[in-house]
Amino acid sequence: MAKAARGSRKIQSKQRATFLRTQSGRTRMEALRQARQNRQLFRLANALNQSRGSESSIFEAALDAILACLDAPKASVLLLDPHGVMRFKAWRGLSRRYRRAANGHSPWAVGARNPTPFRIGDVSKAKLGMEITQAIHEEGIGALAFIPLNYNQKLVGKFMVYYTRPHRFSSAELRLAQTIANQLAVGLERKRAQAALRQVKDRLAEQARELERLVGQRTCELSEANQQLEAFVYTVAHDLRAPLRAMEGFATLLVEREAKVLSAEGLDYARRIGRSAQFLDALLMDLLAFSRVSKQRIQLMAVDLGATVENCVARLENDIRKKRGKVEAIPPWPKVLAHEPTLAEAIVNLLSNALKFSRPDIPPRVRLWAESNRNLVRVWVEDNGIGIAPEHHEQIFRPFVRLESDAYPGTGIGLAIVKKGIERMHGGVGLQSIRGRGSRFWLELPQG
Amino acid sequence: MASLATILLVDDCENDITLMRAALEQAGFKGVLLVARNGEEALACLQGEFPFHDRGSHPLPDITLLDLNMPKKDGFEVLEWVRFRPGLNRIPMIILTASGRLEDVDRAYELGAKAFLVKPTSVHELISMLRCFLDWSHYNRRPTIPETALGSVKTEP
Repeated sequence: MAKAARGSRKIQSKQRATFLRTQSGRTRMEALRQARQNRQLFRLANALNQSRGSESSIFEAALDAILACLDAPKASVLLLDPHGVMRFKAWRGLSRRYRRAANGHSPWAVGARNPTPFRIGDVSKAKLGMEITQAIHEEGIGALAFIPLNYNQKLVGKFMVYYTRPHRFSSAELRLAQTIANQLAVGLERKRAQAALRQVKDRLAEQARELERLVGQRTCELSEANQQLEAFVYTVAHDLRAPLRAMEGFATLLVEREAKVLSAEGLDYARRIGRSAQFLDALLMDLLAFSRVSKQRIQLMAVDLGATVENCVARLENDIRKKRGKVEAIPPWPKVLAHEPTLAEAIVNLLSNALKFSRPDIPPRVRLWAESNRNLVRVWVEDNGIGIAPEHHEQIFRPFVRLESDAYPGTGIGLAIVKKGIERMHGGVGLQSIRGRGSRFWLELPQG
Repeated sequence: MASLATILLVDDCENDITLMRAALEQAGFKGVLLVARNGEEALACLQGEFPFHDRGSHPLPDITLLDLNMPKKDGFEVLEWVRFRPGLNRIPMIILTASGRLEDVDRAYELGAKAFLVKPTSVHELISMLRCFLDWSHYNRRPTIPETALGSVKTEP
């Protein structure tokens, strides 16, 4: 008995050893499988986190992961195209024929909210369309599962797992597959967002380049136009004045050297030619001055108004004496932000107008002073001359506008030069005037 | 009496030449006025080449009035040529031209011009201008004319 018992124990221990061996074998296999799954999941996570990877690298990592985790021989990834049709994007172990037949099949409606996995454990028992059933059969597929790719609870594609034989998909398997699918969906969206961002960036850069090109082109055109204008101005100064010189010169010579042989009328005509030539010359010079003030480079700096005004008065000393006028510059003079030559040109113009448009037999009295108001300085030039009717206050700042008769000679450009010059220095001009009593012109500039 | 014996006028504009002749006369100039109608003629005149080879009728000028904008050789080329010619470079070169573009003025002085005058439209102004430096040269037999002695230098764009 003891022997038998011993034998029986022996058998028992042998069985146990076998059992233990298989157990440990299974455990080892299980552990290996687990390790492989982990490795693939890790690789997937890595691929998803890599911002530079392509879409297909994510697909491949996801396929590797699902094949390893579910121990399946075939798998595929399909995405909804813009028309809502499922299209194969990546696959393992699927023939072209099958892919063509299965394209577009989906167990969920296109706009489905939060769709869930769908499994067919045994295709022979499933009721599917004839065509797809045949394709499945020919491909040697026994079971398949549809794992939705959801992003923001919206279907964006699907993940397919296929087995060659009928397979009972455990809920653990489906959960695992869904987890991989979710990761894939998130990764894909991120890739798309990145691609969209890159596209926007590229477009912005493209637009910036285009803008730069346009600016360059415009600058080129502008400088060309500027050069043309300069050439035009030079022509005016150089070529138009040559015949003028001749007209003026010969008319003068006629008057002065040929007076003896000319009739009184002839003499008068020659004088008129001379005067007209001189006037045309004055017009050309003024046109040049206007064009200069319009296009010259203007650099603003703090300018001592007192010194500028003093210089301007000095420049007109001759006119003041001729008209028996009096000019009074009343301090204090603040500093202004201006381009000194342009400012001086404006003040000289205002001053010489104040002297010129005096009333007959009333010597001009001109007063200048400045007023500071917040950040602005207003310079006033007041005269006791003929004044300007209110309806003309606007137009007198336009070029070549002359209100007065030939009793007040001039080309009518002076105030246009004043306005253009002051405006180019970011200032303004204006006037107050009563016809027959006098005028008060002002110009305003930022404080220096 | 002005002591300038010979003036060389280099100008391509017939009208201006005629006016200058009249203005010089009016200003009291009694000497010889030589006329060259472009830069090449000016060089020929200064070197005593044909048709200026007879120094009796074409003496070496005491002063040259030089236009800038001319055919063949322009005024700048004349200045460049004269600049390092011993003997000739002592003759003062006075620019007398239509426009006083600042870059032209600068360039002319760099090339050795003694003065830069802008042709006045008024013949009276021209006469005053000429009288001024004829008077001035009365005191200087060989004038090296300072810029300020020749009246205002106008500049325009």
